Amino acid sequence: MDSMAAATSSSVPASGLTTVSVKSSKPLKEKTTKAERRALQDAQRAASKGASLDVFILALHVGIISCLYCVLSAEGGKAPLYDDESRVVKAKRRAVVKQTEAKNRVELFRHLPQYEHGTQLPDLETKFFLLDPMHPAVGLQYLSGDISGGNARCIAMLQAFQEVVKDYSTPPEKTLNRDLTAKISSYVSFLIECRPLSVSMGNAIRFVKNRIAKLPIMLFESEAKAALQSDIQRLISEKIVAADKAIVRHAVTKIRDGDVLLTYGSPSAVEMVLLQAHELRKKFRVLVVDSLPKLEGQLLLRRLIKRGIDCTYTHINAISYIMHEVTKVFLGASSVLSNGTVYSRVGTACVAMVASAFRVPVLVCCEAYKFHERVQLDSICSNELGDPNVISKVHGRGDINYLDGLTNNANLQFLNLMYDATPSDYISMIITDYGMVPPTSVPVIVREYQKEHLLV
Amino acid sequence: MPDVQSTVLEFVNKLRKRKIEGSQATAKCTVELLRSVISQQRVPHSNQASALIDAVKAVGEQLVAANPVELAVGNVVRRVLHIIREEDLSLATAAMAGLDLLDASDDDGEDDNCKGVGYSAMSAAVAAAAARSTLRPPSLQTLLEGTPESAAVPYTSSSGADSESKNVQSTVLEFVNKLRKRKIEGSQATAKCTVELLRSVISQQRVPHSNQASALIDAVKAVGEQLVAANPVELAVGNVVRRVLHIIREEDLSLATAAMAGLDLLDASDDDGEDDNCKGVGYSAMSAAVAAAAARSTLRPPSLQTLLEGTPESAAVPYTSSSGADSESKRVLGLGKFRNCRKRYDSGSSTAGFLCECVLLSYRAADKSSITRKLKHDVIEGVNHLILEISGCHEQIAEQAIEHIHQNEVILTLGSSRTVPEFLCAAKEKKRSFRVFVAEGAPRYQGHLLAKELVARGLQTTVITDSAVFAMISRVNMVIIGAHAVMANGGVIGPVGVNMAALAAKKHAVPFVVLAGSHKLCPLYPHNPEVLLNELRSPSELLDFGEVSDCLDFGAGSGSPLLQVVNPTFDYVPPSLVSLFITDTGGHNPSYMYRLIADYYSADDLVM
Repeated sequence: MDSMAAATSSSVPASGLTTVSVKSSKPLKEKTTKAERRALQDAQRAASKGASLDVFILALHVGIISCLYCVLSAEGGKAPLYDDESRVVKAKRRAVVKQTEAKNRVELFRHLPQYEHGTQLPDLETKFFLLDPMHPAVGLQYLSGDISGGNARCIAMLQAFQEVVKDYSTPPEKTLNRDLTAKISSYVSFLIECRPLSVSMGNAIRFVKNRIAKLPIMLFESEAKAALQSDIQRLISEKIVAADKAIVRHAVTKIRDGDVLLTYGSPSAVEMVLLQAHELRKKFRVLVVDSLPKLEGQLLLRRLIKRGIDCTYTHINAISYIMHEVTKVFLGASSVLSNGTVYSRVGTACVAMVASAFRVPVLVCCEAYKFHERVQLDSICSNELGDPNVISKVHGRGDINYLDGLTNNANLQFLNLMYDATPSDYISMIITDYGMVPPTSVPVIVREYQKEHLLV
Repeated sequence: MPDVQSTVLEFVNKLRKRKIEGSQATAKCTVELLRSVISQQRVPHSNQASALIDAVKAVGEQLVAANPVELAVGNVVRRVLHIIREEDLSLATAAMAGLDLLDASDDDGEDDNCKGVGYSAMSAAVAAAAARSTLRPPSLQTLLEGTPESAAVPYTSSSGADSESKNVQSTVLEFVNKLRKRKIEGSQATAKCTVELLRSVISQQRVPHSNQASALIDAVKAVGEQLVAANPVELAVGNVVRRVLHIIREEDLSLATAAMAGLDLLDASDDDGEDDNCKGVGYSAMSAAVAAAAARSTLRPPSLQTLLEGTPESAAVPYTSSSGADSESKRVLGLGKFRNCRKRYDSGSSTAGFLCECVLLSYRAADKSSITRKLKHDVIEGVNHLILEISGCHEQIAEQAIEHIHQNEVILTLGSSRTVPEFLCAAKEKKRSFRVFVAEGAPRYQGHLLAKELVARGLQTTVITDSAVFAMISRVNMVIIGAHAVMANGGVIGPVGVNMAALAAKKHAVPFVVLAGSHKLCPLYPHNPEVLLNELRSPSELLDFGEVSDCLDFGAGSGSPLLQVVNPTFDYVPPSLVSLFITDTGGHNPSYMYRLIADYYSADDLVM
């Protein structure tokens, strides 16, 4: 672990890449797969060439080729393990953009990628024109945080894929099935670089690839493209838009006059539920609980106030103070895993825990396409690390500057976790497009869903 | 007494066959039965009380055995026993007071004034202590009744206690203002300022010749009430005021007891020499009983230890006579003895008379010169000790760090306590290497401050968001927080967000350790502390008005505010979530806190 720490921290963008791989070639010997050995050879060859520009272009090529190998393992929200040196090297080589790794990393999270935020954006923009002219826009939006929320990201990605399919023409001497899959995979790896995939996106990618693979060989290209586009459109409208409507229909029945509802962050499904309930002239109050550093709750708060819903706003620390008056807790989810664990915006677990300690029912609104057969027990093994610098600088509070001079201190680290896993004991009910189910029924839904929609 | 016995048997039968239903009916029948038992009980000449108690107990046991499920029977029997004991004690105290009065009038006739004053002042104090210990349970009523009683002691006391100098008053006002405006933060700083202020109040207080303690208590209480009212949420103020009151009471009592003991011994030796045994017995037995009562009231909290210590003390009184409670005979004997003594003194021939004079003279001298000064001096000494204790609590707590932190430990903390960094650094200095996660503590960001301090001292520190507490707790070995206040039930008032961390720690079986100096131990039991012992800070810390003002126009017509912003300062952690308290006296369970707290406070001061 230590040698790896030294290696990663010493890596200076382009030329450092080669030194790392050469240095670390020895411990790699024991357990290298075929792909990794090949990648290593490529890197060594690149190192012998010396010139950093060449290295970079080569790395680009290698990246596109190796996409075929990598994407299968990377899809479905499974983040690569970043404590494995070879994988770090590989990920770097694959990278379309150079990414500087954060200096002060938290030891516990060395297995997750952690990049210096802000170094990517200008670099990505320079590479913008090297790649396909259309699709990076989505990735850039992820990166700058313009699109957030599982559904929004997924819809944006699917629409980008539709565009890709529309513009696609099969090159000579290639079949549509294989070439388009490779192309999509390369786009996916680009998106991963911008921001790790959410489970919902992983599921959608799997769906698209499945569709492409199942396309009958004898179809004309135009017919295949049309079929794919309509499939993607169907995914968006059925699994996301219609699912949300179903969730709203179910959840609204749980809101009664006089209820005090608590929600955390800015879950889109819950927002729809609240607005719908308000339209039905139900009298209730909403407690919006927020947390740093994103303060998404403020956006939700604004939208709710504008519609005339009574609101109370507070930070997550005060959750015990306000939980006395709450009658129901509505939460959103990034994913529901098949052991009933709800994987969601960090802090959701805290809210659910306090709610269950105060005997308040916790209702999770989540579309069924976000369910995943993976299981997870804690929030450490698989997670996403956000930009650590947003923690040290407090937004809008000039007087809070205790940590200003200390960001480069070796003793001080910042950890900006994005997600956490809520144990199923805290959850009373999960509201999906299939109805309202207990968390124990999640594996059943996952099974049926796959049978019904993905593997047909 | 066949009549009573048959009634008892009849009632026992009824009870056994469950013929009487309803606890009220049962209780009524029982108490009526007991009344007849008592009235028919032939009492011996001496030791009447114990005879009555034995009789009632004998009947009570039968009744309870007849229907053990009907708890009202046992309750009533115990109440009757309590009444007997109380009456007995109050008779003894009254006898003592009668002795005093007699003594005083005697003195007047003899123009021997000063001797009488010293003695009677002391005995009054002891009697008051005895009375207080009779009315044992520290209920509100007792407290209310207790105050006029001590004020009504018929000695020339200047019960007005407003003789503070201008200087002190202005200091008090200044401090009250600071408290009200929340200029002083942190319980330690507040406690220190409060105790220093009280010290100056005490030292500047002119004490009257007699009844000094109550004058001091009144003065401290008056100031304390102002301070507490200025910031009722800062429990440390009330704690410190109560501690100072406790110090005054204890010093007063220990002075009285010491004086009494000195008198006893001299008296006893006197009696032996004169072969005047039986007279001596009555008097000294009584005074021993009163002294025991005083001693019991000194060690106020009714703990097992106190009880165990109390029994041998009274049993070890070196007189063979009925040390029980035969007040009637005691009174007679005591009076006789005292007249006898005085007579002997009048004759002036015997050595005993000389000795007796010495006692009175020495006591008078003590009263004049030292006792006046001594109480105040002792109290200020005690307060100084308290100041040292408050300012030294960090070191005391930090010393224990090494016992709790092991190598490679991961510790989560939150809030900005001064004790926590001291504690952690003490372990760091002992070459333990460990990592600290600090929750940032929005919206005040005290976690940033804490992290800065820890980093400056070379500790491996990671700042996490408050929302990540649950995510990280599974990799944390221990949660250490500094308390704002510790309630008597073992509940903790801490920085906001602490309850969340405690719940998460409980879920993952991570020890939740609370560091608290003794000035944070509050003798009150909390009721709805999340709301009642909390303070809401400015909403602007959470939300700028400018950010939502454009949306709020919607609600202008409807009248009701559409948006509330809640920004509490404190959080309450119930005792079930706390694993350990580390105070300057060591580590304690939450269930033990009430006992620890009882050591520091008088029951009389709980309600101020």
